[in-house]
Amino acid sequence: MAGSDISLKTSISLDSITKIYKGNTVIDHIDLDLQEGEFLSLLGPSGSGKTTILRMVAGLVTPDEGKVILRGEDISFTPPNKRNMGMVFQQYALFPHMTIQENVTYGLKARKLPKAEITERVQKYLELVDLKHLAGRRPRELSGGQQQRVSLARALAVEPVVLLFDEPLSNLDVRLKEQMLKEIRHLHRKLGFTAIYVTHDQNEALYLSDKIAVLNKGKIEQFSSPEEILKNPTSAFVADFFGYTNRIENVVLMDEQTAQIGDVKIPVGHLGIDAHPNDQGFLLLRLNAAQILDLQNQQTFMDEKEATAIRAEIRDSRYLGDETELRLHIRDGIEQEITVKLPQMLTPLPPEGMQIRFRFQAEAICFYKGDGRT
Amino acid sequence: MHFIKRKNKYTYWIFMFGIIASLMFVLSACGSSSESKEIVVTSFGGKYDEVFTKYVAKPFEEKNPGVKVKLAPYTGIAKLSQGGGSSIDIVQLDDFDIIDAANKGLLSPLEKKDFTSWDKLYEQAFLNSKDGKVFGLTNVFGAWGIAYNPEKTTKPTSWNDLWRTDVKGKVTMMSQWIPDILMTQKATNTTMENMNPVWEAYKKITPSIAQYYSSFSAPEALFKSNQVVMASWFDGRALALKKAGTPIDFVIPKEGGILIRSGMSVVKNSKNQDLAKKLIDFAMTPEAQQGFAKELYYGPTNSTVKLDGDVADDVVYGKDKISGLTTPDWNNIFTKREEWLLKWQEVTSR
Amino acid sequence: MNRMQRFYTMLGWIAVLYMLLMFIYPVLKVVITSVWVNGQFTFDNYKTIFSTAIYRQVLVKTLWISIVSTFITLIIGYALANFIAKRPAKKQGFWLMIVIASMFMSLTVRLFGWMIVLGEKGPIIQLFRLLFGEKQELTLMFSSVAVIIGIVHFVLPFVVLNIYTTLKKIEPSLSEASIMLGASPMRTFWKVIFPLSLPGVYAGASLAFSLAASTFLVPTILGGPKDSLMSNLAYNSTITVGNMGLGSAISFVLLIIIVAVLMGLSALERRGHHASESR
Repeated sequence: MAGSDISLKTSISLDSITKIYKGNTVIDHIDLDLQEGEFLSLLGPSGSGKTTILRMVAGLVTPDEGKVILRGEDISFTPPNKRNMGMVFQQYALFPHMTIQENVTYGLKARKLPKAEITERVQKYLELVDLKHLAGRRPRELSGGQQQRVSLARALAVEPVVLLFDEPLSNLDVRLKEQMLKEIRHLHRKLGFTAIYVTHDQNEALYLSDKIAVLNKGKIEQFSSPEEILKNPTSAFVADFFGYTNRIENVVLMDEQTAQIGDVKIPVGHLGIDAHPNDQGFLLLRLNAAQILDLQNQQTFMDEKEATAIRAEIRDSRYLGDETELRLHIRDGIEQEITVKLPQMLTPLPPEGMQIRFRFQAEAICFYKGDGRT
Repeated sequence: MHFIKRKNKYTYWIFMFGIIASLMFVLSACGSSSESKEIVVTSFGGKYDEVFTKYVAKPFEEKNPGVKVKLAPYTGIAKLSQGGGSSIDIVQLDDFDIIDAANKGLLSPLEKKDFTSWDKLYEQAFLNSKDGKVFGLTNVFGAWGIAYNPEKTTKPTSWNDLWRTDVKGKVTMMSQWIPDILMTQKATNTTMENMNPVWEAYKKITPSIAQYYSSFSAPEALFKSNQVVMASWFDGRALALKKAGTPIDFVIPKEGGILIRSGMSVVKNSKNQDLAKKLIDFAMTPEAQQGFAKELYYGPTNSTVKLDGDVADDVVYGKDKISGLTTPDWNNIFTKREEWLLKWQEVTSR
Repeated sequence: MNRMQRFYTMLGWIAVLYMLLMFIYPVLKVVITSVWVNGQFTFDNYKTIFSTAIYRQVLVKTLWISIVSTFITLIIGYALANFIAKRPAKKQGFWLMIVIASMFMSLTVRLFGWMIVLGEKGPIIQLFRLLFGEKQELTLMFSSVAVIIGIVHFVLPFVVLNIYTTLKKIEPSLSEASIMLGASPMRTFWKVIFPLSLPGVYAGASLAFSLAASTFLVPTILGGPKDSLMSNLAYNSTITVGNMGLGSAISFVLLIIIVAVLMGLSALERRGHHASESR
């Protein structure tokens, strides 16, 4: 994980940082490298330690072991106000007794910049988030989305070496969240800042990030690009996070592309760490793991026609927006239920009890060794 | 009930409230009428209450079955004149307060026929209103003089010793207290007609004063914590403190002391006039007064009381000792009192 | 309106009635007593107060002592409240208890305690003698200093509670935001925390001032001859002298002054509150 391309300019490195709270190791020897201009997401469920890492980078929490290195310099014990970082908080954290303009000016005044430069920068960044017309208002007069944009402008105005985001969108509704995601991505493209973004929402992470670090119980499960994580989740924990919601137990890996359960052979697209042929394990399947071959209301099709086709009965079906979700009961040598999603609206909605055939899609199926219950 | 049904909820609540309130009123009225033999006496609190209960209240209850003596908190003249005496039968107050209350028409006159010990009392024991009628009887005497700490200072002999330089800042006198003003009048050799020397003396003495105290008990703490070494005070309290082991002595200065009197009176609106007079009469008996002398070092007002040894020497006892002290002419002083006290306030707060 | 609401409205009106009877009526009585002397309407009592040097002096002294004690209490109280608000959440209750505990004891007893602490044999004077020699004269008791110390002790818990409450209401993320924007902890305090805690400071100041200006017990026990305050004059005039009219007039003048100061403070408080209302 630490072996990134050293020819790129490294912005931030975490060197084996560790945090212990009351005897519990909440951050366990984590290494991370982030290049200049990169957008990194720390993704994990609550309690995974993602916020603690962010706060250690910020300097709001001191690591018990290890170092935080910024552009080659050990800043582990530099106070947070001397680190020149920017931070966007979940609750916006705008100063309620100051106007929008004063909020954005705050960090610049603390840096004792010349007046002219302060004015210029405040104008620039308020314009950038399209809030110049509200400069004289107070935070409580603004909507949540507007407040978060002020917070963004305030953090950007100091032109920080790293911009830190602490679940900035979790207080916003879905529509605003979409808008803000676009805005953050747009600003990142335009300004090219280095960012660390804490979230529990894999969609936010996938949309924004150059790199994603998936955290579990204070350790990094996987650290790679969004594509890589989606295609090849190295652990069941990561897969589970990224939409591999179906699970088939008691599977034996035959070769590197096939797993077997009973008489059924299932193609496998990805293997977890340390998985070898003849290993006992389990499969995780995404919702798009099944390709439906026909939807005939009869049982007249022949097995010879499609050797790899699997027969199943529809147990339940519903529309999800313009997609269709089906619950399938496989009755072909094994008894197993899986949920699949078809990217189109089936009309009419297939009735319960209908017999169908489908084929497994290898790229949406991963094999993991063991029973995954560590 | 027809009424309740027709009207709205507000009326209902008001009606219920009224019923409950009147029920409680009726109940409380029943409660008090069944104990008509209760007699309420105000007192000064603390040790005085204990002694009063032991030598007056309890023996009186034993002699008069069915009668209950109840002590009530001290009730001053301000409260009495605002109607605060409605549930009180007997007030115990300083002589000037009783005389003042009598002049304001708050008390019942007392007559010889109702008191068995009337003729045995010293003449100073009678508290008369301005028209010469008796409204209160003194049950204990005291002497106003100087208390001092013999370990910290030499024995004072004159009132002027209170402003000796060696006790500067270690003296306490009472706030707005006529006996102190009268003593200063004597010390400055002047009369009521020309009070200026008194006020000049107060201006001179004030820098020496640690505090002008406002309750009789205050000097106790001041002496105990060595905050003061000399005080204008009265004998009973000082002697009690001495017997309890604090280094303190009491002297009457050469100018003479002032007679302090605490008396008892029947409140005009009391429903138990006869019983109240009977209790006051009882407080004048030698048995009761001996108790006060023994336990509180207060002098008896009944001339037939016999005290022995130490106690006889310590307290204000006997005709000679009593007449050796000045008895203030309160009815005369009242014409000047407000002027004096406000003037006092003015010269001492500067 | 449902029955429950009606019930509470009813309770509210009973409370208003109680308030009228228990507060407005006595105040009216005081005002009437002060202007109705011997069956005649007159402002003589007020004339006496404003024309006699001693009352003016005591009035000024009362204001002066109240203002000084209020300021001292605010400074100590703020430091304490800030200290407590920064303790771990579980320990804060304990610290608050320590501050409030003194209020469970009678003020008289506590002031006697101060009498010992400030007295001749008390630790402060002993220490002073130890440092500067036996010859050095230092008296604390029976002085304005002792009175101010007593008042500060008496009103401190009220001020601490008020300021602590507002400090707790300030989002911790605000000071983090300030620090992250490059402000020093000092700058963060003065630019963010302090302005946002002003409503508590004003509320605490109001309480402190009104308690200080109306205190009767503290000067009686700790003060010397020159430390009488307005309440003492009112008490003396009413109880000792027996001049109800003058006593009432003094009380009413004191009340007016306190109310005027409180109105000033509450105007400030409203402004502060307006500014700090979050989201």
